[in-house]
Amino acid sequence: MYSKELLKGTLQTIVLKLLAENGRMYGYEITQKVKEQTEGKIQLTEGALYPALHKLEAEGLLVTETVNIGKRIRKYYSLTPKGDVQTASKLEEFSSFISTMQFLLNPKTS
Amino acid sequence: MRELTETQIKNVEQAIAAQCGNTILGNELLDHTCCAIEAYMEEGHSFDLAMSIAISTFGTNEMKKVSKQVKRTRRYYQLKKQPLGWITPIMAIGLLFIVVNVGAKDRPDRKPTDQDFRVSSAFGQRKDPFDKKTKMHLGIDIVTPTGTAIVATADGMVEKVINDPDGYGIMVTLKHDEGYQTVYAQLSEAKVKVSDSVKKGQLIALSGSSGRSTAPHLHYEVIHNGKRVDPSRYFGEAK
Repeated sequence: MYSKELLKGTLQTIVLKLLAENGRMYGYEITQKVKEQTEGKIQLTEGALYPALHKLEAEGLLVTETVNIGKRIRKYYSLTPKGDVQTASKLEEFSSFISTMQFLLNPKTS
Repeated sequence: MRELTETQIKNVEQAIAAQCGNTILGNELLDHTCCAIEAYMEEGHSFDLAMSIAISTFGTNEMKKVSKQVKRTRRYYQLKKQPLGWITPIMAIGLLFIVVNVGAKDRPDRKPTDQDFRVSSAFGQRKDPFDKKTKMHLGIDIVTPTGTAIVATADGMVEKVINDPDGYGIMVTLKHDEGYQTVYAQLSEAKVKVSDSVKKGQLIALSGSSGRSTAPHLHYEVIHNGKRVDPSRYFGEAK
């Protein structure tokens, strides 16, 4: 598990990236997917995830779809065209950030 | 994958409501918790145990916090979307300000003495006791035995202390916020000096009959934005 501070800045990027890959997803599914793909190293708390989802929705990056799944109701999130653009730029920024960090941490290689 | 029954879902709903009441996340929180419970049941736990694990993992405080945070986010963006949306909260704040100000200490909303008194001459037109002509009486006269404690009717500052034996006698004028001034006249003694700050209810003078007066009394005036107003209008609002 990584520190809260570290995750805070990456949460939106993670959510956007997952939605770009999987189309529509619901909250619990996102937490499970992250846990699975990172082998439990990153576990999104509900407390961080839902406010982030609602914020992205309010910003117009996500649309929601509420579906009756039989005995209960499920809310799915997916990217809007604006969300697609934002995802691409966020990912680009983040990769560049990672390589900068690597450069900073291992200045002797190269 | 296991699927909760309707009764079980009802139970979960009640458990969430017990934790954090009616939440804005509503169905979303319910679905999330149900998914978690189903996953724990898949691991071999009973429904009851799975439910208590799911809810305690989430945490009561966390549930409340999430709901609150989501609510705040939503409200913020809703207001942002429609510029006019800001008007409602601004008006609410304005109203609150007004309400708070009615109870503010800088309005002369108490009586100038704690003693019981009789008003011998009210505000408005009256026959002058000396020349018997009809004149405007700019304040009220309160019957008080000489030496009665006179107190400030609002927080403020002493503006004038004057001795005018042919008119108001010994007189204290206080200046308050929001355009108010109060005048206390016919005093036997002033207990404050110019530019002292005074608190509402603080002793400022002793009453008397020091000017153009026929008997011991306090002549009291309230001035609002330069205009004399009827002091008795302000009496009922506070002691």
